Amino acid sequence: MSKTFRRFFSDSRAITPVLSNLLLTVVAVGAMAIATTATYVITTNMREIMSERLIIEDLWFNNSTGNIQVYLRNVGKVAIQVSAVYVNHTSQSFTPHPFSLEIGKHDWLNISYAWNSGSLYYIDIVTTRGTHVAEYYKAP
Amino acid sequence: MQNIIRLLKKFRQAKKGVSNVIVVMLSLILIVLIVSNVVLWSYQMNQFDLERMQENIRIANVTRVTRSSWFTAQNEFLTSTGIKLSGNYADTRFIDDFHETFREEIPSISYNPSSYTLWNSTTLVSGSPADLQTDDGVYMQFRSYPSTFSDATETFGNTVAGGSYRNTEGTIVGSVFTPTKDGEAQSITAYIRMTTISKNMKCAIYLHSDLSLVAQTEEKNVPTGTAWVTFNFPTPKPILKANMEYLLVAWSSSGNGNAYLYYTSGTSNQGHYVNLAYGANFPNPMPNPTNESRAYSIYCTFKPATEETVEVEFAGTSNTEPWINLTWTINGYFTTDGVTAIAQLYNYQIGEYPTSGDGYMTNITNSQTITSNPTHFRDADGCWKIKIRGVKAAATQFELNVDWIEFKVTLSDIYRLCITNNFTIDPSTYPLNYTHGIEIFIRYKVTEAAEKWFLRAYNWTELNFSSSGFNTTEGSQPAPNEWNDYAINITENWRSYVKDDGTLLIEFVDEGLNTNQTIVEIDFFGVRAIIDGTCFDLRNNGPITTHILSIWIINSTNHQPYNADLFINAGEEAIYIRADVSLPEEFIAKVVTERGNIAVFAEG
Repeated sequence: MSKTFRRFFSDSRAITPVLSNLLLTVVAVGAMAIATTATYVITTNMREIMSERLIIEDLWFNNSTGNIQVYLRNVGKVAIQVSAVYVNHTSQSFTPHPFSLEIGKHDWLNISYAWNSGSLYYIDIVTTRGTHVAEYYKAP
Repeated sequence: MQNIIRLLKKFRQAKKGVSNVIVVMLSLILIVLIVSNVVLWSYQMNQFDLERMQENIRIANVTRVTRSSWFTAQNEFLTSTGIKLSGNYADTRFIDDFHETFREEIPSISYNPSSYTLWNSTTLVSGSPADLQTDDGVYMQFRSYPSTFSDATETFGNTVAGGSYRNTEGTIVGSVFTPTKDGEAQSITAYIRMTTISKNMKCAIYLHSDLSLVAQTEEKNVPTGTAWVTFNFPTPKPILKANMEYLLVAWSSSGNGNAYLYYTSGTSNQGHYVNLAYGANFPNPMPNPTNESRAYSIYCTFKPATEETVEVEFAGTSNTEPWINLTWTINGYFTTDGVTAIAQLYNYQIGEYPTSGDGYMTNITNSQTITSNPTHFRDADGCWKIKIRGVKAAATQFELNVDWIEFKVTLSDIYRLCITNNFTIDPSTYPLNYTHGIEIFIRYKVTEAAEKWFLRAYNWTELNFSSSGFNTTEGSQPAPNEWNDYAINITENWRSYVKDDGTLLIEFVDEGLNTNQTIVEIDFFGVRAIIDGTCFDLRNNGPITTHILSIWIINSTNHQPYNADLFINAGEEAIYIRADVSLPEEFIAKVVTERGNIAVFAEG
């Protein structure tokens, strides 16, 4: 029995091809996993960007607060998060922050901005995925 | 063949380029996955955007509304007094050429029996007093009993003196026999051989079906010897029913010698015996006996029935008010011909059942109206009772089937009409929190204008019909033979009249003055909520169904959104009433669809 083991371990023929094939298999599987993951990430990101739809249901130049209130509704197929709000191309702070809407949800977003009656404002709301919802509004 | 094999070997050995092919294929698969995913989602979102562009919703008008739509009857009206002549409740839903017609009637109240008493040996076969409330073919069934018997006697059992015997000392021994006639048992006779000394013996009749004891005879000291010995039944003597199986048995005390009961060959399991120490009375029921094929020499002497009787008394309660008249009705029948029937209504004034005139009928499919002293047929508590008796000269039983018994009292000679129905205001459309009152409207026509007509609503708190809180309680004085409109508003304490599910119980009733019979036609009968709401006149001009999720009312001081859930088919219009939306003087209204489109309406 010990003789058989000694002969098996002392026989070095065909080790190199086995190791090389094994190594090649590991490399191939790893490469495919990376490629598949990258595909998933890329397609998911693209799909979410394509699926984002956001509307401004109402915009209210609120006299009592002095702020601009925007009522947003998520009519797309993914949840959204507002990353920035621009008034006349100038970034403004807003509350609540962060402002997120699940699919089909709607809520007020408050922009801290001292507006003037009769002025025209270009209000641009940008999501984290880069979707812009922008429109001109004239203050009453 | 060799060429093919050679080519295959060559192909097998040619490994150059295989790896490249695999890499290219996998890359292609990944690219296809990416592209198909992008194309699929792009297609879906393009479809979404296309539908959004096609959607075309428009607000034609927005107005303030102070009343909901009408809510009409969903079930037939109940007439507590009066009857319906024609039409149905659906004819009262719209002001049109169709109407439902009712007629005033003398007010009456119907009562039915709530209990019964079996007289003498009458037995209940099936049913209960609940079966007597309607004339619907569901019966209470009673069975007659033999009430008169012949002077001549007959026997059933084994009258043949057998050659073999079984000892009856401490053993109840007998056989099953069946009489062919109803009758009154007089005695049991057994063929007995008593040895050594005399012993006490007695006999009995058991019902074979459940081994219950029917009756036992006198006890006799039977002397030694072999003879037919007769044991008489004490009074009252047992009544036997034709075609029922009875077990005739004998039982002897123990002592020196034996007390044999003879038998002949019988049918299978005809003979019965059970070992039991002799006692003063037969056991009831008989302990589980052993069967054998023996017909013991024992028989019963009975007087056959010559008359069968069924007799039942039904009792109920009524009110104690004055009555104009009383009508009592019975609907029943006997299962055999030739039965002499008597139905009697107990007269509490004379203290007995009448034998003629008021309160006496000779037909059990009949009714009788009593106009003279109808209150004599009830006691001070309003209790009444009716007895039905059927007698036939026969020796076999029959049944009495009673379908319906009614005790109907007329309270006055004024023609009345009172109809009621439930009306339900949809609380999902008109939340009670935003309702300010109730309006009830009826359009009716009468043939007589001698009295007023009233609307009342059921007060769920006080549990009665009331007009408290109505804007008017004076009633409606109609013009005869033309349509009359009668509307009332409830703005005070209206919530007591409306259940949480929006249900109102409304009563339309006459004043109760007219001795002439009036016919009433109702063209419309409905209720609606008094609200301070908004009516949106919406039009879907697009080719696809639109789903409205939100409505807005905007003025200079407030921008107020309200959730909505309204579908409008392509090309259709919709009137959308919101009880919870109050309109300011100047406003802008908006509706927002699920796809993200917005329609705007500006007042003025």
